[in-house]
Amino acid sequence: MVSTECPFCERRCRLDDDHAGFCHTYQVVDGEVVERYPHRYSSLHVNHIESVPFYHFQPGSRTLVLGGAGCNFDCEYCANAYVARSDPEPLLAYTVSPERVVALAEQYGCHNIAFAINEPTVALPTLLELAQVASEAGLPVGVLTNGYMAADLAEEMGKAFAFVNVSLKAITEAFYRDHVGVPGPEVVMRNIEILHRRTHVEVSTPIVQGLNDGDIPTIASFLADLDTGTAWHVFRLLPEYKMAGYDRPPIQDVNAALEGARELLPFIYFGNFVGSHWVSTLCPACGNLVIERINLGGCSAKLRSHGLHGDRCAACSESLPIVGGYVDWHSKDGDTWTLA
Amino acid sequence: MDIGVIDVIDWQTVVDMRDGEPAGSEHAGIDLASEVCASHPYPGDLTTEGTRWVTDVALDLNARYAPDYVFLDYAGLYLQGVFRPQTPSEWGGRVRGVFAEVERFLEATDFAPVIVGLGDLMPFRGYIDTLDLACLVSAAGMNTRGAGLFGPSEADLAKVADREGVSRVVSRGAFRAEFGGRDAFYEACPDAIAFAKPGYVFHGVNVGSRPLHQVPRPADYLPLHSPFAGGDSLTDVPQLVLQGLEEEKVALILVEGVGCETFPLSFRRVSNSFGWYRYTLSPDQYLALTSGRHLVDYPYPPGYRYELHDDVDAPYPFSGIFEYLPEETIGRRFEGRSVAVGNRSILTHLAAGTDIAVECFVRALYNHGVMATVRAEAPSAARC
Repeated sequence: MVSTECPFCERRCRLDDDHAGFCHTYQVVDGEVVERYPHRYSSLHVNHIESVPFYHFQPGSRTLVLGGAGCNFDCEYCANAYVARSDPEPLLAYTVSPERVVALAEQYGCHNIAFAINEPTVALPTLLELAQVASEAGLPVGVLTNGYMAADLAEEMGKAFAFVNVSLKAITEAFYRDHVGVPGPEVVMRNIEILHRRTHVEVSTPIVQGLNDGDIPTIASFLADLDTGTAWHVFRLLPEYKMAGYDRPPIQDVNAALEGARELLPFIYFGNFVGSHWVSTLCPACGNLVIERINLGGCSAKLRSHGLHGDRCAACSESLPIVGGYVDWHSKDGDTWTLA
Repeated sequence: MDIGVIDVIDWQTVVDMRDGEPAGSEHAGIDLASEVCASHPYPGDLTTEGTRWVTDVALDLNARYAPDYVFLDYAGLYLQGVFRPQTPSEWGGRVRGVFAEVERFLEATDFAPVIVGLGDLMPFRGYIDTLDLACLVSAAGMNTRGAGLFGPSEADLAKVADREGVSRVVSRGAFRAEFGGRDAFYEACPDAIAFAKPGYVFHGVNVGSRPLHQVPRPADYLPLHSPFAGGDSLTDVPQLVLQGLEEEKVALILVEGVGCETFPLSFRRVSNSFGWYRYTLSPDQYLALTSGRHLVDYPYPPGYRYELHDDVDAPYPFSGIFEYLPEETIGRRFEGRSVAVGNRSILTHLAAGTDIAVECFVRALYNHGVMATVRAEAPSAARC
């Protein structure tokens, strides 16, 4: 039996009739690696773009959030293991063409589309096709990714997707090896650099007390070298799955560690807990509150007010790394309630 | 003014519930709520300890605040029955476990118990797909029996009416002619509402993706265990409780996931109906039981499109889709001291209306912590 190397992620699984690969979402047909579940989704939700989270792309906008099933990582703390690490087949309840996804987004008054519940690399051909169709309709598509795709695909994703949030889970080999199941962070860091050259990138890091909280200064330094305008979302981990018994990181301790990092990187957000005081954007030049957000649970932040003039601080006119400026949540209400 | 104390383990914030902004904490009730929240981290929806948590918090609040009226809701049976497979023997054990916790509270206190089962569960029979309809379909939630159709064509209406699992499709006008109610209900009402047959739920945009094992059974009657006579309908329960409170301390206890088939105590049947409409576990049912008002008196019809009402300054951001805290609830109408505890997020503080309400802060089964709602202007709250 001849096996074929999967080209989608750096696991480089060998696929054949008996081996579906780590993520179970690709197969070999006539010698070519293809998706097993093209255009299939587990969920479609209308939500605030801040909930994905994206804080620096079309703030205030309405997003059609798509979810699939499967992942190429096995993070021991995964909050979405029921979709990421389960058999995809029964979860992928919806088969929706790219044209239909775009029509639904328009119908619900969405300004953009984000694939954000599980890893996009496991459904990449579907999502690249969706991005093409959506782009033609004027709807930007973004993804939330673990950043472990092959380098050439990172380039392709950077061209196709208008906004990408990469989860950089730590900056040590030990964390990635012991708690994620891949050799180290180098691939993810490489892909962050590739994506950053091509598109809008934000970065997320879940803090696991005692395991990666010491990485905060190093990650901040890496991101500051990349671009001091990078939005970095630091999450207080709500341990689930194999780490369900772990304690939640002390908020004051993590925030104290972030204070030093903020000197390198002005757009650090600390959330994933209800009522967080650290999810708003301050102008680094004048200190004006340019975007006020409220955290309603988990990543579920929501814009409450803004002091933006386009992509500039309304108080001092400082240019800010915010793509698209403020978007009124209701600006597309009533355009159409009926699909074309 | 309602103040929220949000505890996410080792960290708390105090907010004005109406606007979500940080609030001052100069109120004895807030100090009390803060201590209670910190002392009782929520163990999670899919654990049996979630049931014990309700009783533990209720006993703690009773000891600290000495209320005359207690509202409790136990959601564990429903959550485990819907999202986890259960054998009949496991289920029987879980029912006994929940009522043992109810009993633990009652034995340690001197409240007259008014206990209502919110309805049995039944096997999940199937999804009703909606993505192929041309009109906008709104059916948010984890298991939704009513889907709103916005701008449906005749073809859409015919298609959905013929779909397996659909019991009826009713236009807004026909619904109003039959049920009446407030303008606010119909201003938010879809052009038509499709209702599911027992066992079926709608599928589509804004519907949860977790696999379902059971769903609520739409029942004609609910079981009511009460030392007080009277009451034929779930909407009679508030008056029953308020009359009881004239004589003694009363605990209204709602138990999700049990109905007339499985309720283990003596009971009489009260109607769970409003015309042909059968309540299942929902905000409608909670509010009918605690305010005495049917769903048409609130502005949240089946198929409600929250995204049209959400806004940057939407009020009560920690209360889900709800725009205000109802004034007709027992807790709001009763002038004595009152508390609530429940592991049904949002609906506990919404439906209780008590001086203090403590609930788990869970969204889509993700456990974020504990929230207490304190009525700063409650007549007796200053006497903590």
